[in-house]
Amino acid sequence: MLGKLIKYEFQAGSRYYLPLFILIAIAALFCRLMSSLAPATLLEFMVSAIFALLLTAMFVITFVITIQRFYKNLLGAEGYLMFTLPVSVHSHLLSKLTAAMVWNCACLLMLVLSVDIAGREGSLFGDMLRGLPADLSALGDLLLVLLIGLLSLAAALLFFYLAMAIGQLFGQQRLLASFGAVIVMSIAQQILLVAAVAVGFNLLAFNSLLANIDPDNIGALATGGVIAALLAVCAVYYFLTHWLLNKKLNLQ
Amino acid sequence: MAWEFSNERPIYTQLIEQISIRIIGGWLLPGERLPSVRDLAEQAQVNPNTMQRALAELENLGLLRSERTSGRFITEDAAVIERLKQQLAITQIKSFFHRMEELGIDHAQALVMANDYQQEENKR
Amino acid sequence: MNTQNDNINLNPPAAETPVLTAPPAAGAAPLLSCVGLSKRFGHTAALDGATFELQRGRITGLLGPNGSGKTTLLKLACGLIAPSAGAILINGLAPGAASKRAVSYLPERSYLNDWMRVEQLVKFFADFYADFDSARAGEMLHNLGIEPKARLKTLSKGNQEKVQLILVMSRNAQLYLLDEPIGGVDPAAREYIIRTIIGNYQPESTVLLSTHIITDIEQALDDVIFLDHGRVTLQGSVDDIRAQHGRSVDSLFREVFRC
Repeated sequence: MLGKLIKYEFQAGSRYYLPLFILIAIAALFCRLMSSLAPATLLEFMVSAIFALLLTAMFVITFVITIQRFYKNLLGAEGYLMFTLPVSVHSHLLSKLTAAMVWNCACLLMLVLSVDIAGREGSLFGDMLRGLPADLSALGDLLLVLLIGLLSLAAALLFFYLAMAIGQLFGQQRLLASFGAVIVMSIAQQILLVAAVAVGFNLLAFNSLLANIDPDNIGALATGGVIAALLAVCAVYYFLTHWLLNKKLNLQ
Repeated sequence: MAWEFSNERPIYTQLIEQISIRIIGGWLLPGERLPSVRDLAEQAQVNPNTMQRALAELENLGLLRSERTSGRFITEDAAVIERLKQQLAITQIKSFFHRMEELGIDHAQALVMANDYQQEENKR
Repeated sequence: MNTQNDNINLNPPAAETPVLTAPPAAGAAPLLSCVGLSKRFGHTAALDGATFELQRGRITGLLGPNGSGKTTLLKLACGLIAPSAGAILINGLAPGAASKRAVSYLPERSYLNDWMRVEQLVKFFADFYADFDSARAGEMLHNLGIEPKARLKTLSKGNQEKVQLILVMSRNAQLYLLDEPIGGVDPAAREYIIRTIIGNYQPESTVLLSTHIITDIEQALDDVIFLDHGRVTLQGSVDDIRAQHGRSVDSLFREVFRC
């Protein structure tokens, strides 16, 4: 069932993303055309600037669409169809999250590819590939960075899913309530972050046990801490969202 | 022939009447096979259970005959059909006389008027 | 069998009720069971201690004026909302993924992805519901002249509603919940919908449909339930009501719910 839900997520999403990505590719080609036809002119500069803007827009649009997909499909009229399917709420959440992650990563990939197409000197992608670390531990580091990136993305998505799940409790004012939830949650997140950092500093500075740690290992500890924190945040957001949609569903 | 139901009386009694009329009037022929309960119910736009009840009762009355595997058939017993026809006709006649009484016309007078009317019709 | 001298009795007493279905086996769970079911939204009680049972093989009308709790009741049976008090069981199960397998729901509004093509929607239902009959859906769509490749939003509103009805009725579900299926629909479409509901009848399944328009659909119903301010005030068969009160259910409804 989860697989089928994911399939339909991709089917629905590609209606938006494929045209978007194709548009970006065309813009990139145009950029390249400009740079070979009229290099170093004001026109070329302007075209490049617009292209850069388009790239930023692509990111924003991709993210917005993933959020809107959740809202429209689960909390709008289609929610009547989705929540009467014989699948668990977990399946709904996981399918949305998975597809959203894939689309956002595709967006990132598109960024790299289109910069290549727009073609300055060399190839960004090629540089990246060559830059891949040769030895195992550096590769491990790279993977950890990727993991942190993915978890951050997941946390951001789940943040908004939770905000919408809270918003839908409020019936007619659901949209307003969602915005309100975003604000409240952001503030709460900031406070917790500051508190965590403060606690962390205190631990490092004043706890004699930790003070004896080999400085080289602090990096690993910090990384571990970050990953743990992100996992915790993801888990909290996920299970709260699940509980709300499972027990407190309030479709209009 | 269209299915017409009044709202005040139970459907299944009306179904029994209407199917009976169809049998008597020849819209349903002796020995003819009836459509399935569901198809009949769909045609008449009535509840299938109600249709089933009416058909079961018609079976009890001998107007329908059911064969386990092949379905329901109209009876081929002409006597049963004739008896039903007589009965329904008498009901109509009763009703006619009753209405005439309400108009203040007694039975004998009503009969005379009926004869006169028929002779007028024959002339045309 | 009557003897030769008996008159044929065209008005058999109401007591004899042969029904399509066999009576439920002892201990078999009713298909839908509500006990003291209540649901509050803020300070309003949409349902206030509703209690009734539905057996298999019946087409039941849930009747009540607007705001009497009909939609709330159906949403509770679908597992779309949770009760404030009381219990609702489908085949002995509380609403959840398992009960949803047995329930086919037609909401009052459109709930389909309108950008999808009709054939994609058929495939969607077939994908998620093992009891979905694609052939039957295809046939019904064909009879209405609906192009499978058409996108739902390009169809007329009437046809969109019919597609939704066809998808819901093409399942071999145990419990069909239809919310106002004939409301706001022209008489020809109404007839189509009623015939579809009748034509889909199975002795093992049950239809519960809510409506505030009773005349057209009354003769298609086995039973009716009157819902008044969230409570069940009457439950009985259409024929019994007509026999006892000498009037149509619609007429009785108007009297009971007179403003």
